[in-house]
Amino acid sequence: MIENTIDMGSAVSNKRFLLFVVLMASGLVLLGICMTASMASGPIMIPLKHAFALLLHHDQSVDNTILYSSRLPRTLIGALAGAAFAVSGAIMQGISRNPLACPSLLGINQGAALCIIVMLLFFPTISTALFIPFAFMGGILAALLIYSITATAGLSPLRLALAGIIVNALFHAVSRGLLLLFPDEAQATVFSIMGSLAGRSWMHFNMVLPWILIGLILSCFCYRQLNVLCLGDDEAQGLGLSAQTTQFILMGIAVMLAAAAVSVVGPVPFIGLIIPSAIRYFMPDYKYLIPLSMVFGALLLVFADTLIRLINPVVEIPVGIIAALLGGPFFVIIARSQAKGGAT
Amino acid sequence: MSEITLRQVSVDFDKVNIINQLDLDLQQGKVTTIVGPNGSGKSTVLKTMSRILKPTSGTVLLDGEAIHRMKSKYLAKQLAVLPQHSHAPEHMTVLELVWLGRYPHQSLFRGRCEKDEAAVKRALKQTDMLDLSHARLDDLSGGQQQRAWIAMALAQDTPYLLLDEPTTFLDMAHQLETLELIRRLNRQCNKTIVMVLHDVNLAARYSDELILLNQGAVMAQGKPADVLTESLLQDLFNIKVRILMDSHTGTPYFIPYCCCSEEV
Amino acid sequence: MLLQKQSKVFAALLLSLIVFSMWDLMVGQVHVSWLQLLHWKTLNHSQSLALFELRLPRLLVAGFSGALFAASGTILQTVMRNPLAAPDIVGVTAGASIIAVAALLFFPNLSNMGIAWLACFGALAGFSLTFLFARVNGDVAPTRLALTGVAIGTTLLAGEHFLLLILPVDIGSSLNFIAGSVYGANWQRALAITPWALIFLGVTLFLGRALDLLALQDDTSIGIGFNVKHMRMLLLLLAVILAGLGVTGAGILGFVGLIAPQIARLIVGAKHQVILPAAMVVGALLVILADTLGRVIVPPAELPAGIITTIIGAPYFIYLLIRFSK
Repeated sequence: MIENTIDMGSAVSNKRFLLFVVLMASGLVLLGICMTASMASGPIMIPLKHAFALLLHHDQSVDNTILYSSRLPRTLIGALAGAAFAVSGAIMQGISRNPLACPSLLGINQGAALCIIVMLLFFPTISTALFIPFAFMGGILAALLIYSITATAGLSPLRLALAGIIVNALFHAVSRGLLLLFPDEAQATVFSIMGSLAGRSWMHFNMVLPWILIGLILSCFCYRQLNVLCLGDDEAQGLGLSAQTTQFILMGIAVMLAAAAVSVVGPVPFIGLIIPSAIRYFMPDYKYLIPLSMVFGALLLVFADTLIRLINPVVEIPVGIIAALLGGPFFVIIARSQAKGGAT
Repeated sequence: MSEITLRQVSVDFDKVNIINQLDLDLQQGKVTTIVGPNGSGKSTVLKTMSRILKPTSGTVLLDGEAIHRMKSKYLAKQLAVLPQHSHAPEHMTVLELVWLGRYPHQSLFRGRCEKDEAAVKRALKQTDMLDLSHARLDDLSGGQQQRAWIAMALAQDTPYLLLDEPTTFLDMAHQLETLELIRRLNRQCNKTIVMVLHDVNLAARYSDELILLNQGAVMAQGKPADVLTESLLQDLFNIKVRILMDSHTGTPYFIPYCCCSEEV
Repeated sequence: MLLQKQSKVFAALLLSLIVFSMWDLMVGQVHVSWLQLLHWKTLNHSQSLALFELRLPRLLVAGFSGALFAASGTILQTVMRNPLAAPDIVGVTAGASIIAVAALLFFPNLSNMGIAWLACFGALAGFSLTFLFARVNGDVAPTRLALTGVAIGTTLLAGEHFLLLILPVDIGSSLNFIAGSVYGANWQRALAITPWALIFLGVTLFLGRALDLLALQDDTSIGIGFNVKHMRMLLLLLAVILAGLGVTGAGILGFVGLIAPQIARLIVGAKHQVILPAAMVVGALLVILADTLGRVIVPPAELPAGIITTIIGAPYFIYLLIRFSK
């Protein structure tokens, strides 16, 4: 009898693994389709078939040049940044045990963006290698601000989110103010205020690749710690995990991912909120949650970026606006579902 | 020396002294329960024993070794602790929760092995949760959730098990069920149990040893029948009581009559 | 004794309103000294143009918008018994703003007044959405209302940006709604909102006693023969209209509706008959000051007043949130 139930047990955990494989496979296929579509769309449409063929064999056509010089880096950057935002959100939700935590709602994105604006305006000659460290500093600044607010008040998830949003609004206002006062860098406006992938090149790709790659790999190894932290600080301590140190290190990784993504695509909101929350519904285990977040985060950002070029290929809508439109209703639903926990 | 020992332990919280120079010896293989009025520092003592709180001064020894010098994972293999009202993340199943109890036994390069699997199954069996192992925790009753958490602590496979008010928010039947389970774990699996309880009568019934705590100091320690006296309870809770012996279980229990302060 | 203190406070408020209004009129590319302001007939051509055609209507719009937001915030905070409620927090201004922009885009020939009424309708829609989503099991927890409001506001604003970007428009006039700015306010706009602002602000002033009663527990107010439900609906409607008018004037001025009532409460006490006028003056003062500051910080460039009010208001909101959760 007992033996039977145990067998049933492994059958069900296999079921979850199976679900993971199915989700992962479908996510990867969709991502592949979306990335091809992304490379095909723009002011000059390249037929999907041709785009796909070009990926496999170069040729001398104009399409080839467009694809390799602008569409490919743009698409790859979109995928990297989407993955980074989603994983960053997954980590933040885990360590704060708050389903509303994500780099945009905690003000991390906007903090990083503000630092980039300051750098563009006041140190225009600085090397691009310092771009991401600067953005990281801004993100850490925002994180510390939120942390100190939380530490003094002991905020519930809703309050933490509210505090984060207001910090976000504050940074946003300062950023906009700076850009209005120093209008020379007008080109940076759309990118650093709303988030956009327009004009991203191989240079940006090379700049951001190592940071995001390291962050993503590190976070894949942290699933056990995240699973344990989800139980609570004391509980984690009881299981032999020093909660505070781990939270600090993980927050560092999450901020690094978000800052790196912001430094190439700007503060695109809500990807870090939507993707991990949706996946968590099927897969609360971080072992599966992190890799799935990567794939679906990449998918969402590449999809949104393709969509805007299909709507209007010439005058592009910043991708951040589409993300806000998609994510806003989702945000409302999650905030509402928090009521069940009795949080106010 | 195989036991938990507190030596001259003081704990401050927010600069308020909760425990002052406490000495305490807990014996192995017994069920020891800490009771006392609200704010007496019961949970603080338990948290200090399990290193969730760091004492301001003094040392906590586990089998003669200072716990604050142990590696976190090593300690977690000796001593499992269940804090008060734990909340599992949404959508987590019992099995997933219990697996987390194996965290201290795993490392970056050592994944799940047969030993882990066996420990998880044993924990589920001991708590009678096998049938529910794939249920989501949100869907379970309070008593079942408590059993799931205890199963997680059991999966840690430790000689010591510390529980902070394991019966809060449970109705009478589930309180008894949980305490029966705890005693069974002590008797059958040879676990040393230390817990904090609110209800002195239940504590007397299910413990080998009681520790009466007041304002961070031990007022009495010993077998329930020796410790529970009318004068002591009057001092501790400020109530007038009468102590009777339950002929069925052979344990003492008390009936509260009135609050001392109401007497003129 | 109390009355004397209050009249002193009001005198001080009005005096600073006059002083800051004069400062607002003086600064800019064409400087006008305060002596010239008093002898306005002696101004040269460019000065009188700047003063009468640009700065005066702008001052009026700024002042009235501030007062409108403040009144709206005072009502919302009392009726919802929620210190975090303010028109821009509970989705009211975002609703008004998106509808106003849509109206500008789809019906370019609409009169200013038509836009104002549509904006009020949008404000109502934004608020209803927020309220509906924040209501769980018949209960609207203060923080959830605020968070839901912000979420809905964010979405609506994204929608507004989207509209602006996909449709070819005269961005100039629409941008005011997003940035929260009185830049480019002319007599046409000033005259369109002034009479309505006066009427609704006037009506609000008479409702101080009703607000006092609503601040009590429901049971108590019903006990003294007061129809709580109707009054609450009426007041919410009024708050929404006030905010809608404010948005038509100056767009989204972040946090004015939140801070002005709080400051008023701090300086004049708990009676709404006194709080309401004080909040209106403080609101007007805040926006006029923000607008002036926006012009003097880095002269040729102008910062929208909304940015300045947000930079002042956001830290205050966080302070409230912390104090409120203790």
